[in-house]
Amino acid sequence: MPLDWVLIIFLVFAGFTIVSALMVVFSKEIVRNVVWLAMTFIGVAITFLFLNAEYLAIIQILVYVGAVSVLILFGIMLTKRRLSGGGKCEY
Amino acid sequence: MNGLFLFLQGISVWLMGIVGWIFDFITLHGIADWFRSPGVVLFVTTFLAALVVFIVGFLISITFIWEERKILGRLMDRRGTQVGVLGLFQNFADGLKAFIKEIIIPEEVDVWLYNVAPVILIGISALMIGLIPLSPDFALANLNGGLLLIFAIFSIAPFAILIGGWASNNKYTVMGGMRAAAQLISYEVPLLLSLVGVVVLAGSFNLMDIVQAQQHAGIWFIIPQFLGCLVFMVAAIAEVERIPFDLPEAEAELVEGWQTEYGGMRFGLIMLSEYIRGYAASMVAVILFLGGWDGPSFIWPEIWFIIKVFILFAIWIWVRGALMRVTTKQILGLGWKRLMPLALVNLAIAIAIKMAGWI
Repeated sequence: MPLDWVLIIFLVFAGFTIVSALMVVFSKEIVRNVVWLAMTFIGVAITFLFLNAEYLAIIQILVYVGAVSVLILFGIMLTKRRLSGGGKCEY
Repeated sequence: MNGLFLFLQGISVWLMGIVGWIFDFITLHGIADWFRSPGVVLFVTTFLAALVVFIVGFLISITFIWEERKILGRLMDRRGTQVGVLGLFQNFADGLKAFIKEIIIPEEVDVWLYNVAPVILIGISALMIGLIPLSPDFALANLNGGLLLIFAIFSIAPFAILIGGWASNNKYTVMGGMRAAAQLISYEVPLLLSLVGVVVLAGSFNLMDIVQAQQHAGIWFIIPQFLGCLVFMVAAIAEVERIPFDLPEAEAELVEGWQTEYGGMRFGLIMLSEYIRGYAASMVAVILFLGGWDGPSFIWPEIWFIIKVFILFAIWIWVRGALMRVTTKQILGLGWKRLMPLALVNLAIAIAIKMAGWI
């Protein structure tokens, strides 16, 4: 039986999506969580590509990666944070 | 299969023929036949085509830096770069210098995110080059949603900028990153709205179809869509963080903005990706409003396209030399109170023209 490359690539990206979705929950640093969330969105967009929904994939990247995750990051960075290694330097 | 692919297919058939001959010579006939099979030839062809398109885009972006330094020098009454023929080699020298510098990772940075932010930036910039055709014969892809995909990729950049600024663990980089993200997100709205007029007139998201529509109508879309062109230019300058809108890297306030902590080749890649983004934005502007590769046929369409792109970029440099940096209040007021209504008016004009059936 010849190798079904489409299936293999799909499984790789599906695994990537699931692992990054798990990392959103289990990662400790909150900004890294958002990065993993963006990776999950990209993985979902690739899944849409496998379903022949190119337009939906493009809109997924445009809206979720380009806007939603940036807005979440924005919200996080407006909160107080201690610079690591910087002592009492807060802003 | 366009001209570029056909040309490179000949080269890769020849290359794989040589490789196959070598393997035949050492009596590994199975491997030789595998190298000469159509799948491998197609793979090598695609790889070569991607390489050619990337190298062309890279060289044009480097020439953009040269053009900027020369014209800016003339505007400031000096000569600009001097190394080599017309100063063309200065950028290669700078690139080599950035390349051989030591990689310094500051203490207490988030190493993984710090390293991955320039990679994302240069990756999405190179992807944009690959998606934009220089002519029907010099193109990697001919997608139906090409325009949307380009701007989807364009919109990933603020994400990379924010995580780069955050990971550097420095007040100035975080402030620069936040300014960049705010500016990029708010200017994406008028940018995308100003495109819609052209899409309505051309009836397609496909870049080649848009140029074909302009050739067919016999008029470049800058004339019916002048407002859209204006909005697009201003928003695109803001999107690539060039000087009237360079709040994210305001040298007088924040040290170098979000890229303060980057050094060596990482800084070189960030600078290069900014110019590649500028190149991509002016290419899209030329395709949408200035007819793309449309022009008299005594020189190649690719050359027409590149000439138009260089002239457009010269206007950007002129703007950079003439105007001063806007303030945060002005930038938001300009984006939401001026560009947004203008883009909507432009869309109404486009719909009216389409309804009247003039184009």
